[in-house]
Amino acid sequence: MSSTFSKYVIIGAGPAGLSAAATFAKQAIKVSVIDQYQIPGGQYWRHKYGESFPAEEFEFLLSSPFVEWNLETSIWQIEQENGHFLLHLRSAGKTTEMRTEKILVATGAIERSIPIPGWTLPGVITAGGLQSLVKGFDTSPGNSIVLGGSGPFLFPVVESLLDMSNPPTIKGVFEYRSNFRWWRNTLGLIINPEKAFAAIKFLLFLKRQKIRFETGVNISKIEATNSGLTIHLAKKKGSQSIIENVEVAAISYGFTPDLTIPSILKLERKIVFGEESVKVDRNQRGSINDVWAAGEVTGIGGHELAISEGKIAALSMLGKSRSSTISKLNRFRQKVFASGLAKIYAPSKDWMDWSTEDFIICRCEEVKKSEIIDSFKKLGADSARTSKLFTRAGMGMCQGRICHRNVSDLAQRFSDKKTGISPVSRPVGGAVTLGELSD
Amino acid sequence: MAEERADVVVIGAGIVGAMAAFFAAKSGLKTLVIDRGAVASGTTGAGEGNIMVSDKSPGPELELALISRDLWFDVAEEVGNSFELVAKGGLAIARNNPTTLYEFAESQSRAGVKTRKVEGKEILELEPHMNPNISYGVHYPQDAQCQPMLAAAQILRHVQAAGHKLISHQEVLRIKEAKDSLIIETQDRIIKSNFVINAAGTWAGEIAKRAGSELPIMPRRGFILVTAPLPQYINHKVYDSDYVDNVASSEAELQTSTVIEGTKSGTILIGASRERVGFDRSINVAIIKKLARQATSLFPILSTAQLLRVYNGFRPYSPDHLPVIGPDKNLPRLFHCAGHEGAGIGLSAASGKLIAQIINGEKTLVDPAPFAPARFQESQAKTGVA
Repeated sequence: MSSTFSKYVIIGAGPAGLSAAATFAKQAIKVSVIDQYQIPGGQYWRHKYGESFPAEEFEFLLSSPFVEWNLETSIWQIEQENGHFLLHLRSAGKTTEMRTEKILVATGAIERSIPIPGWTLPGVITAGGLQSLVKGFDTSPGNSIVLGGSGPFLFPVVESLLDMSNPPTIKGVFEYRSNFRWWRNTLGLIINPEKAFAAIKFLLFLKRQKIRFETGVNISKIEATNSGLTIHLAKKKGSQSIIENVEVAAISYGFTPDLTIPSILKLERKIVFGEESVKVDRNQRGSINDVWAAGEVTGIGGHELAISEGKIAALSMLGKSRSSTISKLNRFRQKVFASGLAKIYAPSKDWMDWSTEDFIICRCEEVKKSEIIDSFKKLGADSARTSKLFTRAGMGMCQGRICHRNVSDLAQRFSDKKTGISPVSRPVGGAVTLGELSD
Repeated sequence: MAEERADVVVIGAGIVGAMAAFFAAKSGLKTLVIDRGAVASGTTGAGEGNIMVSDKSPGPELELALISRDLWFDVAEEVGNSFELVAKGGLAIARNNPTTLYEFAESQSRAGVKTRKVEGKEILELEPHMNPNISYGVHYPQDAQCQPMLAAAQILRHVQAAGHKLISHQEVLRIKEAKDSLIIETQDRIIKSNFVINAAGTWAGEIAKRAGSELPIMPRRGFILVTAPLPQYINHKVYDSDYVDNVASSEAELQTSTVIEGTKSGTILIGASRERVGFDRSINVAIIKKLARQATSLFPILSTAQLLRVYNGFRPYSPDHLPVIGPDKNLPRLFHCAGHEGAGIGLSAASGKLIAQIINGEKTLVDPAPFAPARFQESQAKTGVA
């Protein structure tokens, strides 16, 4: 069993991880960076293989002598012993071990999947999935697209689509929340004026491009017909309309922290900006000694916040927390904005009313909404975890990445036990086969 | 403080508690089940669902297991088989010399277990994907499988539908003797009951303590590996015959043996390990690797199977490997039904019926002497209220 040692390890090569790595490199201290994908950048800086790195300020890391890259590598378990950590890695069909003393968890976020009638139809994808195809391969899965859901992420996806060499037709962009909610982030917009300007600029841009953009409108149902998808739109006030002959419906309801590695490390969680996140102190230290966390995993706040947090974490890991004052000021400003955004786009529980009882909530195991509700009302389940034991929701291939949050919402509504969001638990961090374990 | 009254309070809403409640309620006793968590939140929630007679040597446990296995099917008929109960059968294999396995099977056969020796081709007929270098085995058609958490939940739902009560998320803090009853105190309740059944599994010792008594039940940790869903490659519960030695072992350090089976959903479950490490929930990678290696050596087709999940649970283990079923030595209204180690699900039906019979003073389905809690308990001088 091949085993290596690296005193400092950063898990995740997105904005937070790269920002931390840059801090290490500038201090001339060696650090190992581990990422599942074949090129660094995470989801935010996803780019085509061979293209120049999207963030100029971090490009130097790709050839820095202080960064040891472990790409296309996943961590399937982490053991803790005698003041150090043993990372169990899997890469290219082989398992290896890496011993380390200080870890930064920057594993980012996954999309919040809200079930809508028709969400399993071909052509219906998440906005993040669409973004990956567009940025990674300059490909769109169809020529006519409707985007919907809720959250600021819809805008960057529209931008990416329009940046393509052959942009598809955008038949409409629909935001569930209505305009008047934007006053909830007044303070955030004031102290982050560049964001307010960017938002206004983008809205004017959409108008000039004659792209239909409406707020207070929900994609309530998607149907398949011979000529493509039919998108059903519902306005808050009750009026309905449809858009026909659509090839792709891209839906986004924001993000939630990817808690796979944090759950293996047993890091404490708390609710940040409405989502279960890793709890950290002002130096980004987690609840376990020698473990830090930064970026979306500590709260969905965008890439600039992630960059600030990555730097603060790295300086703390190096024992130089005093040098992170400016980053901490930036972090404060960025968190106010993120907090305001979370208030505007707060995850809605309305989705539970958008579908009938026989609607499938856990796609991997094909578990219906009625079965899950019964587990709470008739079998005494008190949370997503116990519902899983009775219904199998969350036991399938995705291990709850798609349905866990939704089952938690159902628990809060239908269980009389009120135990709240049950923490994510995924003891197997990444794909590994029994054969690879047997070697 | 809410007050409750019952004829019998069952502490523990796992499979053993559920079966005890089922039979107590059936015998006409007003039953109240209480658990500090949700239904099946203890060891039952980490169980595989084994209802086995094949892994037990002749003796009181096997006798109980044979009755329990058939009782399971009766309970399923009454409650509705909504928990995947199926008599899939077991296959014990011997990697080398089959003599020990065959002698063991013969002794079991004399005790009433249906056995059939199988060799070479016959093994491949039962399990086409078995490693062809496995030449000897014994087929046990009586072994069965269920989904244990669903079973506990559905049985308790049935009990409640018959007018009895389940209180979850209430921890028993104290059990006191009163003039002709026991008083159970939880955070928000005071419950007065004629009898109490301690079915708290791995925590039965703690409950006994809170009643002023004692019960030496200790945790014996086990891991289960779960693969991603696969086509049905494995038909029976397959295990290496050294499994039986490990179950009987009292060693504190790690014992591993190979136990593999498929499930209705297509995942394959792989066990089994036994260690005494207290209540340590951390994942031990060396054990996972060992279990994986054992599994792929028996079923080479599993080497490309993806590991989806790992979980552990704590079997309730008593010093002589037999459960404790019967009255407390010193507190006359307190009964114990716990310590079933890795056979809790299989033995639960007969244990539940047995404890109900003991409480009601009826003729018992087996001789209860080997299971008496008194065998582990010291006599206490009577001092009145605990």
